Amino acid sequence: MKDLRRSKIAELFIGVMIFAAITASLFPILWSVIGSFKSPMDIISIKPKFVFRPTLENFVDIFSSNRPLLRYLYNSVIISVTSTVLAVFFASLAGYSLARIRPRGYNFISLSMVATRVLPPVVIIVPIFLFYSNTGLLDTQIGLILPYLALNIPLATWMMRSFFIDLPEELEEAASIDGCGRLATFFIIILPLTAPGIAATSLFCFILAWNDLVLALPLTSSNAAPLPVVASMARAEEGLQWGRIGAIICIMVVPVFVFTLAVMKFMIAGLAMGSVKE
Amino acid sequence: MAKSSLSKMKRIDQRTGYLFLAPAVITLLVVLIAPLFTSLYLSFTKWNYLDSGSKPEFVGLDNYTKILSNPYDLYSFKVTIMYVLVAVFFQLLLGLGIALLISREMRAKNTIRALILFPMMISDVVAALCFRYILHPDFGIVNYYLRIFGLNVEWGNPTTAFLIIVMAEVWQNTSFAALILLAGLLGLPSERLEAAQVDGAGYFQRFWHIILPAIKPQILVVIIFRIMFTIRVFAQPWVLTAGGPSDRTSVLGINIYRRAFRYYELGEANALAWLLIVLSMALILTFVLLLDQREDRVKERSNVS
Repeated sequence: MKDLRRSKIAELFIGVMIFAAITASLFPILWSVIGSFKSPMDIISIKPKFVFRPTLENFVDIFSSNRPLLRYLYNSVIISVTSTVLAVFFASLAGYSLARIRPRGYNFISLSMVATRVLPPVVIIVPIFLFYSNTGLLDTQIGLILPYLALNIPLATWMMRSFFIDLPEELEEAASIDGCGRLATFFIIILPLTAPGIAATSLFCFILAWNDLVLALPLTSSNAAPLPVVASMARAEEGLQWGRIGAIICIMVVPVFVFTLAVMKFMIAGLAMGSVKE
Repeated sequence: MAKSSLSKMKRIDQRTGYLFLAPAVITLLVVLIAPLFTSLYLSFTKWNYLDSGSKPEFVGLDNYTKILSNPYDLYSFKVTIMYVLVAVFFQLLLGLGIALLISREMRAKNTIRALILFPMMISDVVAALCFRYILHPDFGIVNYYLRIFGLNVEWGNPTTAFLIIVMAEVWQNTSFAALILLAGLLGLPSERLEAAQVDGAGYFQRFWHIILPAIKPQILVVIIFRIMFTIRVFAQPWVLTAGGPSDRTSVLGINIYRRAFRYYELGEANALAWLLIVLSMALILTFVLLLDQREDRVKERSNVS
């Protein structure tokens, strides 16, 4: 009886701790998101306002004509989606080759790929900047798609490789007996089976491109700048700006939030495999 | 006859293998490896990019010796190392606590995990902006409650500037540590834990003797990955403190960016970038060796007894 009460108290304690962890994780974002629905008067109130009349003013404001946020949003979407699709496609091919076909030297290739992941992006910025200013790729969408694609390939290949390794080898044997070539086997049988893996890998590729500032800041300006560049330039000292900054934060966070919840199931498995296994 | 057709098939398969690898490998060679070596070359040159007629001029190790004798650069190394050590320490500690909490069976398990792990998915820029907002001196919610307790903290002055960039980093990436450690905890052999419990081992004993040694690989992964990523930090100080006040938070990332794109000292910027690589390797190696040694000593001790 006493034991039961004790375990109830322990349960309650753990519940409170979990609640505290969720609050700590979400509060800074949540408070900024709430702020984006406040009017300028409510935003600069000294006493934090938890109850207020919500307004879409800030969202209308950032999208109205003299602030071309729509273009930056468009840049972000094009750059992130294109680099993600290409990275996952290249990585699936490479991961399959490393997991199953294993051409001569595959071990060396996979190790070198992992090693490139260690490189800080800041090392490649200056050479890329110089190359772009000579070729007119500076401040273009493709100018960001390329480095994001390259930076994502190592992790994506490693993740896809571990998903392919987990598939039963009999599948391919059966397919090849049925007269299926490597290419057909890969596209018709293997790739659809790794759909969860592809989803998890896409998430990681997408957030790298969607969130990055280090490369976007020097390589783009008014034409191809994605959202993080715009957000980083927000004039945050002025109190009245905070509603608008909150609105930009909302736009940057919501796609990631939806994507994360959608693939959460595969994520723990995916990342655990991608980074820890072997 | 059969043998030769088999070897022919193998040859074709080899070719397919390389064909499958080609897009990824070529992209890496062109977009990562080539710039990497260009950067190494530039680090041995002096080149004023703004002077349009000039070309990179080979100066040997000049850039490196200049950096290592420049107090501003040395400070930037020091503050980066401090930043990495403090941030990674707290990420590991808090991440372990959170991982233990959410590794239990509970209702809405996946949703709770997703919510707690969410900060690592958002942009550094967003994290920094959120911290600026809640720490705003006049109408920030944190200062409002601190004032109620009679505290008046001025965020961003020379003493607190370092603190806020560390806080933003710890807040954002503790979730990465938690995710990796969670994966480790979920893979624990439950039989051993149950057996220990039956033998009367308390929670703390079980944690120290069974759980902690079992998730050591994951702890190492957290340390390695977090060192690798926090050492590159750029966005948080750029948005939160802009490297200031008076360069107090000018970590290597900011230093390199300024050298390259404000002063156009491309040689020194690239030398700094390469020193950043060397530093991260050195830090990672130190921790890997430290942890391995500890394990050996524990083993020795248990052998003796």
